[in-house]
Amino acid sequence: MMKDLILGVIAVSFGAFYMREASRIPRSALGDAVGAGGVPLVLGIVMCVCGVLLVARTLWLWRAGTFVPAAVSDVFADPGRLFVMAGGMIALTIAYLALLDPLGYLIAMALYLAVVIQFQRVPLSARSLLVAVGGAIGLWLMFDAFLGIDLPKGLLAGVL
Amino acid sequence: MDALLLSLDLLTTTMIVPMAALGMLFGIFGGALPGVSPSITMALLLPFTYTMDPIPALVLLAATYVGAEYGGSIPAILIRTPGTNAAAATLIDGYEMKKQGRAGEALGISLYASTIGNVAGILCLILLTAPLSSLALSFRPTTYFALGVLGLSVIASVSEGLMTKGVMAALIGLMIATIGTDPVSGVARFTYGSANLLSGIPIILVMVGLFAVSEVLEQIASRRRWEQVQASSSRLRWPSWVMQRKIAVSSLIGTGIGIFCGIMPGAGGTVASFMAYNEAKRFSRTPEDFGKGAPEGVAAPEAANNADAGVGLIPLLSFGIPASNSTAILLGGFLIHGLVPGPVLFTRDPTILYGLFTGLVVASILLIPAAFLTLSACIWLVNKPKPYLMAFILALVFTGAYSINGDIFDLGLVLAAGVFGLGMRYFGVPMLPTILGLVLGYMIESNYRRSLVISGGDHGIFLEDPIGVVFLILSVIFLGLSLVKEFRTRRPAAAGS
Repeated sequence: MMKDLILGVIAVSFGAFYMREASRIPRSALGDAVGAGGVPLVLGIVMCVCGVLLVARTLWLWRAGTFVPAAVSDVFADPGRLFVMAGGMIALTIAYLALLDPLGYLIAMALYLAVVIQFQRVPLSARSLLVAVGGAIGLWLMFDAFLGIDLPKGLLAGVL
Repeated sequence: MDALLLSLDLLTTTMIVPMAALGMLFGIFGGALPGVSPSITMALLLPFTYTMDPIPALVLLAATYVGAEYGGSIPAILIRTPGTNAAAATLIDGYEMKKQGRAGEALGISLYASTIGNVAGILCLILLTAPLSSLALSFRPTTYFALGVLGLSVIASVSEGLMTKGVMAALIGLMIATIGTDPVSGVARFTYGSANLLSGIPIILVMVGLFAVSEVLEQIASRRRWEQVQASSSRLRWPSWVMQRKIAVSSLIGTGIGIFCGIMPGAGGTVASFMAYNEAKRFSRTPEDFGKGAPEGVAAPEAANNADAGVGLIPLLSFGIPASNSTAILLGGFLIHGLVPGPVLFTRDPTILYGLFTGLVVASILLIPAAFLTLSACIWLVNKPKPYLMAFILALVFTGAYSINGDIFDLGLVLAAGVFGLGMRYFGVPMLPTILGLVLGYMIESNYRRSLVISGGDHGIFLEDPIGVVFLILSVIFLGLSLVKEFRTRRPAAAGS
């Protein structure tokens, strides 16, 4: 029940924010009757309405005693684990994006693969490192050498 | 006759056959991986299709779709984990057959029924697309606006979970579509001074992030492990004549239901496969065998979800409205090459669609040898530790996304979409309406505003189009009925995905 209430509040808040931003879109001399901000304004209003409906429905059914919480997968039944695992993966990916240009694709991807595999509780081993390095080389060959996509070279600029 | 000659010409002058084969193989592998749906498998290929000609690119994507629908049955039968949602019904009896040492037989029945469903679905697609798209030639801007609203309303209403959440999801997609430069006045909207956002947010990045990245994040967070498969006990066996007669009725039932569900937007392969299972049980002479390893229990859902796959392309090719996650990805493939599916494409450049039809026919022929060839490799892949597979899928996603514009900003968008998708799964908000909102946003807004330009700002123009009025009334009915149901009874809400 709390999830639906929270979602409803988020929807109303976001809808209101979106409406405010839509009202700030400048009108153009080339504009039509609706203008660039017209449709976004309507979208924001409808989002607010949906949020209110969701909150109303949740409270209505809860008061009637007929509200049944959604069946959740095991992942979302354990928010603590979800936060740690997903949060960790997001942080790792951000680090990969930050290192992509300076280190170059090959090194950054090999590190990324190795760390992502270890993050999933695979013991550090020659096999996991080989898979990470081999995988990065394989992907580089597929995209850069075979498809002609220019991937960042970084530290290996003089070599590749 | 002209169409047949055109198809034969395309067969010999384009890369249709190799792309159909490649797509079929890739699709089977992708479908065989639990958690990797046909849409994710197709999304992984999207960046590769950038540099290809339109026909081979579309054939590659469509063949992947077909292959993945069959591939999902492999882990469903072998390790009780459906590779695709639509294979969930297959595992009920398929896994029981495996436990009885009849895994090869179950896999053979799955292949046989999939082929029947596949061929029937593609035949319907070829026969129905042209007449329906000629109907759409009479559409005006008001009609296209109303059609887009109807498409979103139907999908929002029938998606898993609450209709309210479905509408929210659609709104999110429409809101993302407004980012960038206004199509009429050229004013920047929601760009906050970022040059990267001036041309809007590429649909592909959102698709890949929402489907693939969020799924991988959920899989990584999940404690679920996959069972290992013994390759020696899983040799695929084509059903004997006796078995083919036994499963004939259930295969036909599944095919019929799959065709029906494929035409209905939002119904999809999952609904089709479970409906087919129930109906096959109802019409079976031995319904008590269902759930204990009945061959009909494998044949019916597999025929259904494969027939659904082919027929599900009709709304996309006839009207330009995708009705499922996978056809939304295929729409992405069209848009990459500057093509907009629908009646205009059918009349302006029919070779594109005939090439696609030809490719699908080739793919359905190649399904049987591809299935025999790939089973061992699929088992090898499924037996690989999940951490390695998840890492590689992420690597493929981010490398593919980079290959589009060579811009790290795009990778940030993919990651942001993935995180957002995970949040949507957590709150039980369906993703298909978001993708539809994103792809239909431009069509809906531009036709709405174009209509008002024609009428000089008078909204009455929408009431002067009878077809458009019917579409709008249907939208209100769909949404209204769903809303009443939500407040009256408790409606089973979706799981996190």
